[in-house]
Amino acid sequence: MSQRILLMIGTKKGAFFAETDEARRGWRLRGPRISGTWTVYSLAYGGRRGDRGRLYAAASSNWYGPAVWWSDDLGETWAHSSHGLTYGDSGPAVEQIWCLAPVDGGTVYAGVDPAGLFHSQDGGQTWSHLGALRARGTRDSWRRTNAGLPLHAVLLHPHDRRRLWAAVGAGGVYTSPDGGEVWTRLPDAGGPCVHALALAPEATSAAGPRLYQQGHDGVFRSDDGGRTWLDVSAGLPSRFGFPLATHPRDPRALYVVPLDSAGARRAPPDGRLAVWRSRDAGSTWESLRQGLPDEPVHAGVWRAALTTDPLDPAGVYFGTNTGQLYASPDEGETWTAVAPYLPPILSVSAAVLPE
Amino acid sequence: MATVLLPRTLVELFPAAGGRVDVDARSVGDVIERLDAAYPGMGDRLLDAGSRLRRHLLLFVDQERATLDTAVGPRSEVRIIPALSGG
Repeated sequence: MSQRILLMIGTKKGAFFAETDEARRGWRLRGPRISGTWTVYSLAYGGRRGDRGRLYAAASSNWYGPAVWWSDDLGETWAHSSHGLTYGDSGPAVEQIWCLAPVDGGTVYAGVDPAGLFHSQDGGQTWSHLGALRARGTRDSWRRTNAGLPLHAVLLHPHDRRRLWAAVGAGGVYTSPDGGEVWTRLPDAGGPCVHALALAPEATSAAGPRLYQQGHDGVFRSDDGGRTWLDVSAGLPSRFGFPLATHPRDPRALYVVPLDSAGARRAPPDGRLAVWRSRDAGSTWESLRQGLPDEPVHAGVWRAALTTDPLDPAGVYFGTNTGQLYASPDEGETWTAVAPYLPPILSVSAAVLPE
Repeated sequence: MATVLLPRTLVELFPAAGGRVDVDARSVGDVIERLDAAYPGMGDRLLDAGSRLRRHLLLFVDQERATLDTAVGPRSEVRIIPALSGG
């Protein structure tokens, strides 16, 4: 059976979708969905590979606040709710929902700003706060960033879905052994300002799975579930960047987009837009830019806007904060523009669908 | 029954409501409670934690600026207006 790839693109003005077949050469774009008055921070596909699953979107409106949206027809029609997504009458207002992590059976985790973790057990309709992560002693050390105070990543152990990792900017990395009831703060890698956190596939040793992070101060690897971190930034043109994506099968392969941090420029060094790849767990890096613009680029790529798909060879995708969406069907070797004029892109994620 | 006029961007979220809803209510807070009962989730779109009106929404009763406590009469017209909020 042939497969389809669905790219889900969260933008400042709604959600867009691009579909293609296994060759990943021609794309069909649709959108905006959810309407342009909503900023879509991230999208996630809740189906098992091969099933037609539920799509989830984390979105906020300047007027109507944050809500989780879901669609059972691959993004054509949507429902929404934020029932229970609150710190209560005496707590701070939830400003934004940053990330969604669907698990089997209608369970979904949501990371929000101000940082905290919620979960739903009915496919997004009602939510409850997993309060331990926001315990007073923990949150006192958190500091707001230019992007607010987001809990922007929730990761699930590939074989033990109760073991979680969460990243707070700027507040460090946390792990839970029991689905979010109890949390431990892991040591900082370069500092508490974690921009992106990702699990490597199938790299589970006795010490724990392999994690990578792009922080404010560099790219880091942990081979023990986050207890110790190794700086793997050498060879990159900048230690700074926002996104990081892992390969679907190779635990040594990862992708980043280095950006200048000097003067808050947040654009590629020397204006040369490139995805950088390592195939040896960060020991060496190569620049991948065949098909990307030759002219200077004064745009950046935000933390959730770089991803891979699970095909072989893996597809790699990213979107810029000036609305260009690029795709590579060959692990980053060559790139083509899928859409040149979208709204500023906040997130890109990929799912495999049955034909 | 008071008449509530809903903004288009809210009707997009609750198409069944249409742009105009009649409710039996004594205050604006009451109006929002009735709207939420008829169209579940609408209350969360209009109110923030602590039952405060979201900061970029405005309320009018019979063309006067109103708060959640403002009284509503049987022939009042209640308008919910999204303020200019940039972006």
